[in-house]
Amino acid sequence: MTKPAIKIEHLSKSYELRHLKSEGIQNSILLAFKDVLGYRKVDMHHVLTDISLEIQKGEVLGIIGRNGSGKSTLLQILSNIIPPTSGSIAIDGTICSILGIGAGFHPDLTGKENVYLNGSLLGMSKQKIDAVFAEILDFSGIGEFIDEPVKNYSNGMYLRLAFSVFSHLDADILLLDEVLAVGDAAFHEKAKQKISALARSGKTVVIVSHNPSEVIEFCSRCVLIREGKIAAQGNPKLVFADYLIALNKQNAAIELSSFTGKDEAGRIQFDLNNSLTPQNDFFRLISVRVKASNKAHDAAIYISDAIEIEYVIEKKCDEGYLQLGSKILDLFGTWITTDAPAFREGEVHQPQPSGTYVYTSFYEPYFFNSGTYKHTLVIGRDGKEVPIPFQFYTFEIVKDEWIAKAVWGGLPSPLLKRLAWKVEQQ
Amino acid sequence: MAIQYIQAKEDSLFTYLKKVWSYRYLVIVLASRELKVKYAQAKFGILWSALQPLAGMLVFTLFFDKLIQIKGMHSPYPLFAFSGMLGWNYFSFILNGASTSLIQNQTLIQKIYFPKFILPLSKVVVGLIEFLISLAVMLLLMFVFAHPLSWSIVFLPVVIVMNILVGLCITIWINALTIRNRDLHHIVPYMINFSIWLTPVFYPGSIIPERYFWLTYLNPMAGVLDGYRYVLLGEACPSIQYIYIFLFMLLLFVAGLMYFKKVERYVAELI
Repeated sequence: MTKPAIKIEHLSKSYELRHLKSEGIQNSILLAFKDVLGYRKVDMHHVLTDISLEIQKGEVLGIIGRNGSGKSTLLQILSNIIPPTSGSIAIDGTICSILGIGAGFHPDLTGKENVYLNGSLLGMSKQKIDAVFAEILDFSGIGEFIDEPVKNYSNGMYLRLAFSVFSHLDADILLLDEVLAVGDAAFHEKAKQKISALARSGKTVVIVSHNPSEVIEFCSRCVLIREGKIAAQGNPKLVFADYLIALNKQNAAIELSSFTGKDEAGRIQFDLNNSLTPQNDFFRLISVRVKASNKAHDAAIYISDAIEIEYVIEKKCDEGYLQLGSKILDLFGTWITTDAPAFREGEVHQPQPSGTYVYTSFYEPYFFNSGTYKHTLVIGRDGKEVPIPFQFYTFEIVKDEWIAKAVWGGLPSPLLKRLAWKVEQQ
Repeated sequence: MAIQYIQAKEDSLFTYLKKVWSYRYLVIVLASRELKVKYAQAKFGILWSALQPLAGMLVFTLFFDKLIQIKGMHSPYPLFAFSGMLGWNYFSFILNGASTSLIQNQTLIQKIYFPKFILPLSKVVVGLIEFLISLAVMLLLMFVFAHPLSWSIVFLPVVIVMNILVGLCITIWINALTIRNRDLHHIVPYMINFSIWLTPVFYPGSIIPERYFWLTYLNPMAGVLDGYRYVLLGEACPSIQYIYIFLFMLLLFVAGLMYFKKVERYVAELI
C-alpha cells in the first residue's frame, strides 16, 4: 500500500479574538495595563476542530463548505501560510498552492517577466521555467502580448497567463482555491482538461470551492466542512446534495458514509469504535444493505426489481421495545416515503430480549424511478423516537432497457408506483 | 523526496536556514523585480541611484569644507564625505526598505508560502546593486582627485559584509516587532535622520572630544564607515575597540533571526 500524499491528523486552529473596540480613554488605558500584566481574558475562536483526513496520490479532492466554515483556513494551513494550533500534517511530495490567482504578478512587469517571477514564487528554478516557458506561452494563448507589461492586459488574459504558469509547475500536489473560473468558456474547458490530465499523471489536486459544477466535474472525492469539522465525505454528487440540504435545513445534523467498508455479502458494516456509528446504551446499528430480491448482492438494481432494505441491529438490553422505521429520500433530500410497522394502529408493544435483530423491508417492483436514493432509519423506544445522528445510506436504481425506450422513460418523478386501474366504457 | 511536516511547533534555526537557502533564487527574482519596477520608466535608469550620494557630497563639501572647514582627515574632503555617504546610504536603504517589506508584500504573504527572511534579503541585494554603482562613482572621483588606491582595498568585501550585518540586524528586529506593533515603523525614518548626526558620516571621528570618544565604539556604523575610509582612502585603520560592538551585533542578529522566525509564522494572520 502506498503512502498517502497528504495525511492530516487531529488538526485544529483557533484564533485569539482581540476586541479592539474600546469605549473611552480610561478603558483603553485599563486594557493596555491588563495587556501588559497578562490579565486580559482572551476569547478563542475555533476555526477548525480535530480534522483528520487522508488524501491519496492521484486523487482530485474537493473541499466544500459555506463561507466561514473553515475550508479556506484548512487550505492556508496546508499551504504553510498560517500555522496550525495543534495537530500535524505529513506531506509526501512537493506542494504548490494558488490561493487566488496571480498573487505574485506585478503590473509594471511584462508577461514574460511575471512568468519567471511567479514561477519562482511557486518554487520553480530558472532552468525549470526556461524548459516549460514555450509550453506556458502556448497554453495561455497570450501570443505576442507576452512582452507587454501586464497592466495593459485584459482581466481574462491576466487570469489565463496565471493559470498557465500554475498548471505547468512540476509539483506533486496542487492546491487551488476558487481559481477555476478563469477566462472564457473555451479556456475554462481547457483548464478543466488540464486538471484532469494532471490527476491522471499521478498528481494530487485539492480544490476548495463552492461552485457545484467544479466539484462534481473535477473531483473523485469530496469533503464537506461545516463549522470547522468534517461533516461528510465521499461521492461528490452526494456530498454536494448534503451541502444543499444543509443550506436549507440548518438544524439537521447530517452525517454520511461513516461506514468502514462492505463485507462479502454487500453489507455496509458499522465499526463499534467509530463515533459516527448510530448507537447508544439501548441499541447499535451493525449493518445496512440494499439489494434486489432474488439477485446477487452486487447486481445492479433495476426499476423492475423487487427491492429489500435490511438493517441489522443489536439490542443491548432486555428492557424496552425497539421500534424501527425506514425513510426514503431522493438525491436532493426530499422526503419521499416512510414506514414504521411498530407505529401502526393496534400494534402490541412487548419488550424483546437483548440480541441481534434483522429488520428487512420489501419494496415491490416499479416503485422507485431510476437514479440515486438515500435511505435512513428511525429508532423508537416504547413509542418515543430515540435521537440518533441523521445519516444517509445511498443506493442506485437503473432503468430497464425497455423503460429507457418508452415514451415516459425520461420522466423525472421520484416514484413510478404501478397502480390498479379500471377501464370502463360508458 | 522526504516527507515534510506541518506542525504547531516552529522549525529549528537550521531547518529554517535550509528553507531560506532553497528559496535563494526568489531573492534574486524579487530584487530584479524591484530594480526593474523602480527604474523601468526612468530614462537614466539605475544611474539615479548614484545621484543621492553625489548631491550629499556637494552639500557637505559646501558647508563643512568651504564654510566651517572641518579638519582631521588625510584625504580630500569630497572623497571623505562621499565614502561616508556610500556606507551610510546602504545602511539606511536596508533599514528603510526592509522594515516596511513585510507590510508592502502582504498580498504575497497571504497567498504563497516562502520564508519571510527572503524579503529583507532581497532588499539587501537591491541595495548592494545601488551600492556598487555608487562605488564605481567613488572610484571615478578618486581618479579625478588623483587619490592613490591603497592595497587595503582587498578588505573591501569584509567591510561590505559588516555593513550588511549591521543593517540586517536592526532591520530584522524592527521587522519582527512591527508585525505586532505598527508604531515602530513610524520611528524608523526619525531614527535614520537623527543617527546620521551621531555617526561620523560627514565629519571625522577625530573632532569628537576625547572624553566622549568611547561612545563612538558603541556605534557599529562608525566602525563600518572607518572601515570604508581605511580600505578606499587609506585613512587610519579602524580601532580594535569596535570588535565588541560587532560581536554584540552578531549575537543580536542570531537572536533577531530566532525571533523573526517565531513571529513570521503568524504574519499572514496579523498583517
